[in-house]
Amino acid sequence: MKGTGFLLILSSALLLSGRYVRIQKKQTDTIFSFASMLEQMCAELEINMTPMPELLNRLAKSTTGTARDFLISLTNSLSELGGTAFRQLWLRALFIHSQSMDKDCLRELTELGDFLGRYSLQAQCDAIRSCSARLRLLEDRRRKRQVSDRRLLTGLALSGAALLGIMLL
Amino acid sequence: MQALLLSAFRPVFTGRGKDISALFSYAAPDMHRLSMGSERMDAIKIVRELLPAELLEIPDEFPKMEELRLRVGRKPGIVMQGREIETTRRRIDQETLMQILEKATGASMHAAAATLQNGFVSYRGIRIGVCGEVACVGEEIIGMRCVGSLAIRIPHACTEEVRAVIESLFQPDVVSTLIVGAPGAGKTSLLREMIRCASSRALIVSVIDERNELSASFGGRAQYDLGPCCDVMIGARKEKASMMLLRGMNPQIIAMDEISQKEDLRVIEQVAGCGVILFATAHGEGRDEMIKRPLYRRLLQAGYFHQMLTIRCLDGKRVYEREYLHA
Repeated sequence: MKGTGFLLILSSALLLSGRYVRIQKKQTDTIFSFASMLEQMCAELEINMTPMPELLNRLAKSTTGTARDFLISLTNSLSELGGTAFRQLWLRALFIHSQSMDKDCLRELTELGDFLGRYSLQAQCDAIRSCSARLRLLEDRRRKRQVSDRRLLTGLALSGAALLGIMLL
Repeated sequence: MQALLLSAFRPVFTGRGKDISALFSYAAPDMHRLSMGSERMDAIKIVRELLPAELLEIPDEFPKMEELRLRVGRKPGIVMQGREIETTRRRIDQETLMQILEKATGASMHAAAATLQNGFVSYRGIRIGVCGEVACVGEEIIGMRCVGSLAIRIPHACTEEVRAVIESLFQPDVVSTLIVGAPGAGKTSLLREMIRCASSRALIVSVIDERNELSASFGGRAQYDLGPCCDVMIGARKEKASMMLLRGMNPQIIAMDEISQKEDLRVIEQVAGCGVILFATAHGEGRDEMIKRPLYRRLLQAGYFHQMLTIRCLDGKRVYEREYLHA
């Protein structure tokens, strides 16, 4: 009985730490997908001056993960332009998918929305480039932290479970 | 918010990527062709699409409206029979104007930068004049810093009367024709109908559509019915477009809107020199008034046009006057 209890504590501690690590990884992947999408967006704008609806369509095709879902939501809401400003549509689409986003990433993308749609090509590209650079930095930092976090959490879970186990036994 | 719209314009066609438009509602907009018969109603519908909800409450004036004028800090103005009347709606703020421009450009001011430099954007055949504080580098206008007012023009209805006028213009033969009238007289609508009629007679017509107003093309397809034998060059200036069309499309007729500068005269000379029939429009009150202006004097004396059609508004009615320029 005590052995089963010990095993249950151990497995739930490992599951919890695993879940935390998975959430962290998903958030990092989201940052990666947005940074890649923004890099493509900037290239497409600079080379082709593609209008926004067409640009979002193309990007959704070549993007994966949360960024793709975000682009689809945004594209679907473009028919509301005129009554609603583009930055509000951008913001709304972001918040639909904000659950899988890190708050720093969300803040960066929210700020970017203010620069898209109304400004010159150069101004938009500059804003996109700087946002994607910041996201890359954020992604790098998180990936490095993720490795140490995984070790730390696994260690904590194991030692916590061991401590409880000793107390039980 | 200030918008700085820069000048560089490059083609936007890439041909890359698969079409996934089925996934998105905006990628496949209502691509219905605007029929000439219901052109005005369609135009009103398009204008309604552009406007925010609070401006849509102009029901009585809409059908008679020629232009809708929106200025920051003022109530919307409606132009009917050449006079502007202020409506009783709320005052316009800059955000409203920016939202209309966002709708018109699909949140892509950068893609409309070239036309914005010339003071307008086009939305499905509706011309939206844009006015405000321009941004300059040296003497060159590179964009618009701040939008202060918009003038949304609504195309005129193409009536049976207009069709009868065009039929008579095409008798005994289709010849080079200059359409003259005051701003808002309906020159562009008449030119569009002339293109359609000529094209329907199996004449190959090439259209120089600098402002995308004649064809209202979207995704490479003209939304106004310009007939079966019509090719449209959109966005290029007349001098470039005419050479491209003459070299590439072998037209029998070239149609262009608004002759207004001396470069346009060179284009007309070039086109007429190639034996191509010309359809064009110009701002003016009639021959006597136009002959006083050096540009139009040269145009009329050069003999490029065989006939001139003057549109006048008398007592709220349009009067069409045909005049032979050269035997």
